[in-house]
Amino acid sequence: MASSCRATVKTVGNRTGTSTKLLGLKFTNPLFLASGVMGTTPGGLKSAVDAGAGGVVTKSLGLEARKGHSSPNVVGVDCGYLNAMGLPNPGVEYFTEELSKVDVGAPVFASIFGEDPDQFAKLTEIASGAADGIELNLSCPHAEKVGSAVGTDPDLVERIVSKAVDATDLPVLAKLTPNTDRIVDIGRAAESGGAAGVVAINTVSGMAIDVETKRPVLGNVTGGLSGRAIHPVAVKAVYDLYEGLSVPIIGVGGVETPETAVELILAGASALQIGTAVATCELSVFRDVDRGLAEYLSQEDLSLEDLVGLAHRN
Amino acid sequence: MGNDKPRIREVALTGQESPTVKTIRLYDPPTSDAAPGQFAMLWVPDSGEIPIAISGTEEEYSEFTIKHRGETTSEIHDLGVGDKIGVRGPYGVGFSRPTGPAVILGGGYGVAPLRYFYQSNSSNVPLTTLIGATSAEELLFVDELDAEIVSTDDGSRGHHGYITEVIEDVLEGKDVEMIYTAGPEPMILRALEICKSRGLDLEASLERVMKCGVGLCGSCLIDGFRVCKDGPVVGLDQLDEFSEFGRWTRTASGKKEPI
Ligand SMILES: Cc1cc2nc3c(=O)[nH]c(=O)nc-3n(C[C@H](O)[C@H](O)[C@H](O)COP(=O)(O)OP(=O)(O)OC[C@H]3O[C@@H](n4cnc5c(N)ncnc54)[C@H](O)[C@@H]3O)c2cc1C
Ligand SMILES: Cc1cc2nc3c(=O)[nH]c(=O)nc-3n(C[C@H](O)[C@H](O)[C@H](O)COP(=O)(O)O)c2cc1C
Ligand code: FES
Repeated sequence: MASSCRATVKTVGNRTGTSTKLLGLKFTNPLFLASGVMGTTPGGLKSAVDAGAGGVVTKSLGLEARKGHSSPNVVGVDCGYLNAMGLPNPGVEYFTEELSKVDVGAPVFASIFGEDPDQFAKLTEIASGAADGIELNLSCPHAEKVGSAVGTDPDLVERIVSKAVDATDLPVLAKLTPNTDRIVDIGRAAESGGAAGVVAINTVSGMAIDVETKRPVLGNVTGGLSGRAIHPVAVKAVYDLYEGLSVPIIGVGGVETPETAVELILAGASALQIGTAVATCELSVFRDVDRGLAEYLSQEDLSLEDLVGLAHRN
Repeated sequence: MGNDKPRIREVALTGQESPTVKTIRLYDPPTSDAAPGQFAMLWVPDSGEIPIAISGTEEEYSEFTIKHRGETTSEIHDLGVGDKIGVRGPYGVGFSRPTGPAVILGGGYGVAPLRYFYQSNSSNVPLTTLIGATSAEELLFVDELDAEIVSTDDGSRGHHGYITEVIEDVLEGKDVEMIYTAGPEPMILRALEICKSRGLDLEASLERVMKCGVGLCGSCLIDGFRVCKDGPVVGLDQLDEFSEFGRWTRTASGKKEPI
């Protein structure tokens, strides 16, 4: 597993040519921690920043505390993991209070999930107390009534986003599901609702069955696939969104090396999030990918902005 | 990743260690190769999956010594020879190899990983074992680890009180460099204080809620430290740096709960 993390792009010293301004915020690099991975506590967010993340996203927060689905919550598959955590979180107020006492060291996006536009508005208002941006989870594939359950109808997405935007001065991002054939329509709806950007993708719906016991492995039966296995799905989603949207796109899905990062940027991502690779690689994945990206940019004599969406030009 | 899928194994042997603690033995080469202190995720289909330390190995077999606590541990207690269980791992960072005279300090089912540590002491470094439990019948592996002193909360055997109350007496006149410990967190906290005041080194195995075991989900965090991947065995300096250690743990939702 470790070998898949190693960069083949040659890396240099601690050169960083990748600081970036986006959504009115400044980031030391465009590599953020993805929601739900280590971000269940402010301490986890800070660890990612200490290890080189340019920004972080919290675990998705709801109005009430919840303990999540029954175990097993995670199972390894070839080139990735299936998870059905079930959105465990201590509740938006609890987390916001804890976060307000911690200096994470980089911009923090609070990820939130709700059942309807009013809940999203309330969550946005509370989470804005300690965050620098809001990410709307319209895409978790394995929780009832929330996540992708409210993220595949463009009209509903537009109403949710616009309510959230009205409830805060912070930039609002919409995180999209790949489990649809309408991702561009949904992205456009988010844009019309006032989203400052979109995030793509959340996990790909999937499941695993143990052939010996003949039972589904995950406690929740089905879950979401993440990691290297979904990288091509993310590249396609970002590529399509770039054609159809004008707001910035944050790419996520299977980033673990400079090559996988560059590919998503070429498809149209202005920044990236890294989730599964903090487990399959070390936390240093942020710094390693950043160095490789900086080296690539200097070899190609391009700026980060130049690179965004370059695969679309002939 | 492919390795993080449960392997279905048949229980090869079971043994009752105390009224509430049972050992099961499984043929499982990957965990039989683990370092002492590492753990596995054991899956009982239709019940749940929980983290359990490796308590010993023999050839390609591994043992797990499990206290009856709630749903899943009770299902494991009900397993007999030939019944099936899933296992993935080994996970985490284990104990270092002892290089000089050391004390083994175990409380409750915390003796489980220390038993494997004791078994693996191939360099024959002198090890002095101290074991505590709630009562005489709950003391684990006393003979196997050749315990020098035992304690019980109810005074039914050995020192009446906590095992930490006798450490300093044991250390007098002994040339010990290090304490290896696992068990209730207040015990580990006290051992840390003793080690700091006497200039000894310490390694402790910690416990938190672990939902993935591989460093993904964040359920096991102490401050920002992933106990499943970068622990569960942690050294003195790291323990001393934690703000939550000995004071707070986190529930399955991530809320803080006093220890
Ligand atoms: C690294 C490590 C090593 C351990 N080694 C041992 C050992 O060698 N022997 C032993 O007896 N115990 C050990 N434990 C503790 C053991 O995991 C818990 O006693 C067990 O999870 C309780 O499960 P239960 O279903 O019986 O209890 P309940 O109280 O009924 O738990 C209900 C549910 O909560 C969840 N849960 C509770 N505790 C944990 C946990 N720590 N991690 C994940 N989920 C949890 C499970 O999903 C469980 O089904 C270890 C724990 C850790 C973290
Ligand atoms: C264990 C785990 C928990 C996750 N929890 C959330 C969550 O709470 N909210 C969310 O929007 N996405 C969640 N995700 C999805 C990730 O943020 C990310 O979109 C996905 O894993 C793809 O990126 P990756 O391949 O880099 O992991 C989770 C992913 C994993 C593996
Ligand atoms: S148990 Fe999931 S990160 Fe440690």
